[in-house]
Amino acid sequence: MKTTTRKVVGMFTALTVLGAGLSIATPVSAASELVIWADKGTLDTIKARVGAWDTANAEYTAKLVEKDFGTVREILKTAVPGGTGPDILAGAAHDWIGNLAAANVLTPIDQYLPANFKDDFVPGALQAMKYNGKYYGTPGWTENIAMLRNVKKAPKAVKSVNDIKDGELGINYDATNSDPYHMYPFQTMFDAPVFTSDSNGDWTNKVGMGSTKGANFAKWLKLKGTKFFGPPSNAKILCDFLNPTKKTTVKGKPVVTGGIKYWVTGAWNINAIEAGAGGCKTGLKVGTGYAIDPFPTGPTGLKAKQFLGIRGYVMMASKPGNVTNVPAAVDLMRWMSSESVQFNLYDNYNKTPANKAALNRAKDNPVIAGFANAANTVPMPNSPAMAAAWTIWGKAQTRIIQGKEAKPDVAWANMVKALQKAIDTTSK
Amino acid sequence: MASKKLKEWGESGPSVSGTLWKLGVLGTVDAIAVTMIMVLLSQELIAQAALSIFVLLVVNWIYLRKGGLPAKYLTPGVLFLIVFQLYVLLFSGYTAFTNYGSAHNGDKTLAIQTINNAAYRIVDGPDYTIKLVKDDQDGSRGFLMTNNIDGEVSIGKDGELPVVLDESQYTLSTECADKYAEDTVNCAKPAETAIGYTTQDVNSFSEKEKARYLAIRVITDPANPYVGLRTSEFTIALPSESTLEFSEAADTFTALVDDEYGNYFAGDVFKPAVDGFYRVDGVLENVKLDGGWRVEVGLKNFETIFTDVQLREPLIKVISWTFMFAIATVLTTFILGLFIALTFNHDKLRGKKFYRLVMILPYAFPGFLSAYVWVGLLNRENGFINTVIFGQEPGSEGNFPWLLEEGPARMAVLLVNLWLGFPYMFLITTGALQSIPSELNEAAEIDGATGWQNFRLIKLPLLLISIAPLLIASFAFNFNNFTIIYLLTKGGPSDSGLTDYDVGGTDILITFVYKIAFSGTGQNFGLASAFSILIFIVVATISLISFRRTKKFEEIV
Amino acid sequence: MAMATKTRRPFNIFRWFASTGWRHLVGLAVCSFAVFPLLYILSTSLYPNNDINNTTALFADVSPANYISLLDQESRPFGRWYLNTVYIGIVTSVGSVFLSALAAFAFSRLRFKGRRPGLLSLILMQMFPSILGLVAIYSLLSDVGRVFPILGLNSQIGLMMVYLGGSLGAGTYLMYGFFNTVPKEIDEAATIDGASHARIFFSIILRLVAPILAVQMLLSYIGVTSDFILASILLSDPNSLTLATGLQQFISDPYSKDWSMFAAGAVLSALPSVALFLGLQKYITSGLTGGAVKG
Repeated sequence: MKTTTRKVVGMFTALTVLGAGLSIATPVSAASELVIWADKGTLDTIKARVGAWDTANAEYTAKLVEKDFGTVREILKTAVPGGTGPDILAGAAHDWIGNLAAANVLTPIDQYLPANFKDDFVPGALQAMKYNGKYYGTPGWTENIAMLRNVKKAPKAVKSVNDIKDGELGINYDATNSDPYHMYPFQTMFDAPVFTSDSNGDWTNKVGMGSTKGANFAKWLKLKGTKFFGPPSNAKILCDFLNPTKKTTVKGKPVVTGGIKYWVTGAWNINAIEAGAGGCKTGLKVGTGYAIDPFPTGPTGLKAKQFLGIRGYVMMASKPGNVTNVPAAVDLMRWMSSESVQFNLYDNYNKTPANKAALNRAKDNPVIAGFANAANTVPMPNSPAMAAAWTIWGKAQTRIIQGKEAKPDVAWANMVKALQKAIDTTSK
Repeated sequence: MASKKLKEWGESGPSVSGTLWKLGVLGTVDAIAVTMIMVLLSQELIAQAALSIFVLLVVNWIYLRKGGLPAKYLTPGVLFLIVFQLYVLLFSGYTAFTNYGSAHNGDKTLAIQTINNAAYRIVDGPDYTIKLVKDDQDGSRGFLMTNNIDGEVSIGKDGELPVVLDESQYTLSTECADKYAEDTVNCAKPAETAIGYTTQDVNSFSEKEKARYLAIRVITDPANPYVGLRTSEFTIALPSESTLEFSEAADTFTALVDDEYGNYFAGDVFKPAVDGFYRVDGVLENVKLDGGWRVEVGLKNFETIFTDVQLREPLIKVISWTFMFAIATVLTTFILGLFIALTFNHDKLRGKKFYRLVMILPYAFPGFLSAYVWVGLLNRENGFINTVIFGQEPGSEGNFPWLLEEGPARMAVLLVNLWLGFPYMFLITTGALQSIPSELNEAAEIDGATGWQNFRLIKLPLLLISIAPLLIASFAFNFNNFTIIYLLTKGGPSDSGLTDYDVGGTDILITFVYKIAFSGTGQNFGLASAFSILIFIVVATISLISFRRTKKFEEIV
Repeated sequence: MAMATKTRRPFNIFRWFASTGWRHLVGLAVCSFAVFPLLYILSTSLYPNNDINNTTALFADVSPANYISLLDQESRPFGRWYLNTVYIGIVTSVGSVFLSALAAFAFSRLRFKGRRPGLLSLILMQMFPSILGLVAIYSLLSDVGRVFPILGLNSQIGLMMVYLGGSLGAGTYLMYGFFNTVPKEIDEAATIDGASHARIFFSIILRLVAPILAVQMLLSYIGVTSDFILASILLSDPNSLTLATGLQQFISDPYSKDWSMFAAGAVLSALPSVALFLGLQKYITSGLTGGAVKG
């Protein structure tokens, strides 16, 4: 036994030493290293371009690290003050900015942006990266939703939301937290903006959807219910949108598949639509197979608006003793904002450029043009309370749609109160 | 008796090989520790080094002296325990009395740096592409600046107005001012060198040298000292205006200009307030600067727990479900495990080994993976359970809403936990049943007891004696069974969100507290730590009381 | 013994059912409950189409495609994760069992001041909800890492240290139970023969409880390799991740869940622990109960 114990102890020591050796062998981050955190989707998108930058700039080494999209914000809030954060977060959704900036995580980049650089972007794109009067990031690409239409099932664009019948609409919204982002076009059909705006058109901190207009929207949500919006977390939208409509009977009950004619979604689903997937292998081509339309007008004829979302690059705050590699970070951010890179990301990954020149070059693309044509956008708010706001706002919507609220207007008013309170608490 | 033996142990001389082993291991540890202490000293971390030296001396004393056996066996584990467990306990204990959270997640220097980083605004005026230069005559530092709009070239030095150079005094670079310009032929080109100045390479700079260049402010308006051209990354200079000035001596920020949003005005003085923010005059109700730090807040977090009306309703709900969850889990797993153990505790049964093998599979399969598998199985529209086992229509939203509504989600959580936990209970009850002397069974049969009476009056009490501590441990474990809840439902389904706290139908205390600590609605480590201390007290008390009431514990300790 | 006294009776299906047959029914029912989720994940891993929710029949289509592409992912080095996990798992489980065996020996065999309170605080310390110690552990490692990078954040050694720190509370109490089941007379006899305490510990006690130690190591291995929260917060480099943190990436992104890949990874990850578990199952009961129940 003694020998066995010795072996065990020996093995333990050997493994530890081995491990120590391995760890020493991995280089400790050098001054010229630029660490970029990105979620899987962003990482795949930017990898080649970041690699090209790395090759072109011998003095810097870029290191891409994959982080979970859902939790990266929380990790940053501990990592950056702890001195272990990255230099840049890539693919940051711009509505995160207020939340991260208020948590000492970000550094404003106004001082790195010459005036001519600011002119490079489409209107609103750089503006979306602004919080409290300062720019916190550079835009990578823009995202907005539109009304996609299966041309075979609906040859003409729908004019009014009243013309859409139950079962014809596909919309992604989450079972528990809903999705005010996808629902926003419908909400604006009732002229109930999430916040009020000031004279410059910037969002204020005052919730704007509490009026009777908001209540009307709530009542309409309940009226339409899941019959109209479909079930939450509906995994079958893609197939039902692509497949021809088929009516069958299963166990005596009539079942319709492929009933969805219109799909409220963004460019991120275009690849899936064109390729087809799962049980609906045939994809559709833009123009002949599907069209990208603006949203229809509301029940009372009001025009819908959707959010303009920006995914971009934000720079982390320096902590005394642990400095962000500013020159490298700025250089990479400018590289990723340049016309050639943004056109490349469009060309290879269908990302709508935020860079004006790149967007002009991409305009011939019917998908890009379609989404641009459908855009009647307002910037997505990015106050620190947005994280809380999405949840509070969305939960109420889902409950109303699912018919869980007997009095939708009361539930809506309660939601507005809770939301205002959350915002006041955060900004005080 | 035992103590007498102990003395003898100490007296009997250790073998040569044993001594060599001991010295070898101790020597290795000492060598590593000394190296680490050297590193600490080289970084001037005197207190840490002193503590390490002290610990090292104590460790050596423990192992080199005669006797003191218990310490020799306990030290390695206890060292780890102190560093990683006790420290965590103390840290949480301390955090419970602070406002540590997302807006207060660092020390004051970080907050000051954050505020300073944003304490400027870019003003109208041309911006410049720059090269860093040194004056050949006096060695003073400056920028060789090329105006990005009209191409005018000038030299700028700290505190001085820029001096315009004429074309004979500088040469242009071959590269574009905008490094990533598409048209590299016709783009604007910045000045590269100037006569009388030497262009510097920023890559060869030390941190101090970089700081000297970062400090340069070329004034553009002699009347306004707060506006100037500065660089932040050595390639461009922008006209910026300082908005706040920090005074280290007074520990205050003073506003130099009116805030463009009207939040504060020139001359306002921001002082540290008790809540860890710089506020105007340090008064709590006044406007604050973004960038807070951690401060002690006394009993405020505990006060919130006990008095916040917003918290009361969710908390009561969460606490009652936590108890229900922990108790129901222990009961269901125990009953099923015991039932199977009794069923298979039968001599003539064939294939017992096979059954046993298959039945402990859920226990052998890594728990976190199981949770994910169950999430897929329980999917409402297309999950295997709904579509195959219950034969519901695939894709239908009328299917049973496992995980999506409170009642069903609670059922689902208990079901999954039953699946995960029954093999363990089966194994331990089998062991316990086999350890009950068979004479007892026979005696009971002779006395004419029925099988049920035999079980209820003889086997069960005996079983409980040996198993009770394990049941209590299982209760304590499930009371804080974060993984299963978090992975299955994340505590959801969420309710309508009409309180300040994000609470879901299957949230147990620990997941609720985790959300307070880490979720997106604002991290509050202080409040979460206060909670964890209370949870700790509750669980420890319940366990202690129950342990004391079982005879087993008396025997053990 | 009781059987021998009974006379052999002709086979009667009803009597057989009442006595043992129903037990098979129970066995089959419980086995299917136990095994179907596992068959399901195996089936998904072999199903060459990325949707956990679209497979209605088990093993509808069988192909190794997922396994092949799993091992061929550049940004998600599954093989590397596997090695990391085995390395971290083995070092931690061996280390923690060794540490708690040392402590358990002291508690079981030696009498000293503070023994009872010591044991009691070990038990109590386990009850602290460790998940909330995350912040403390994170800041501790980030401080340490600034001076000693190999012990800090994003270091596997740092992570293992944290695991070892938690091991004493978890393991000592159980181990203490086993050591108590070893009769004291054995080491008394050895002492009279002139054996030192170290010899008694290493050559006698550890040897007698060797199977139990193995089970403890296995349980500790499973515990460590299943942890994903600590590992996901402390490790960030894709090459240093463990399986638990890495596999999660396949299904954590709401826009691109990859269930088939996850299933294939899950099956491969579970193999060693399941195999060891089944191999050691003879000893497992006593391993679970700290000798309190003799299995």
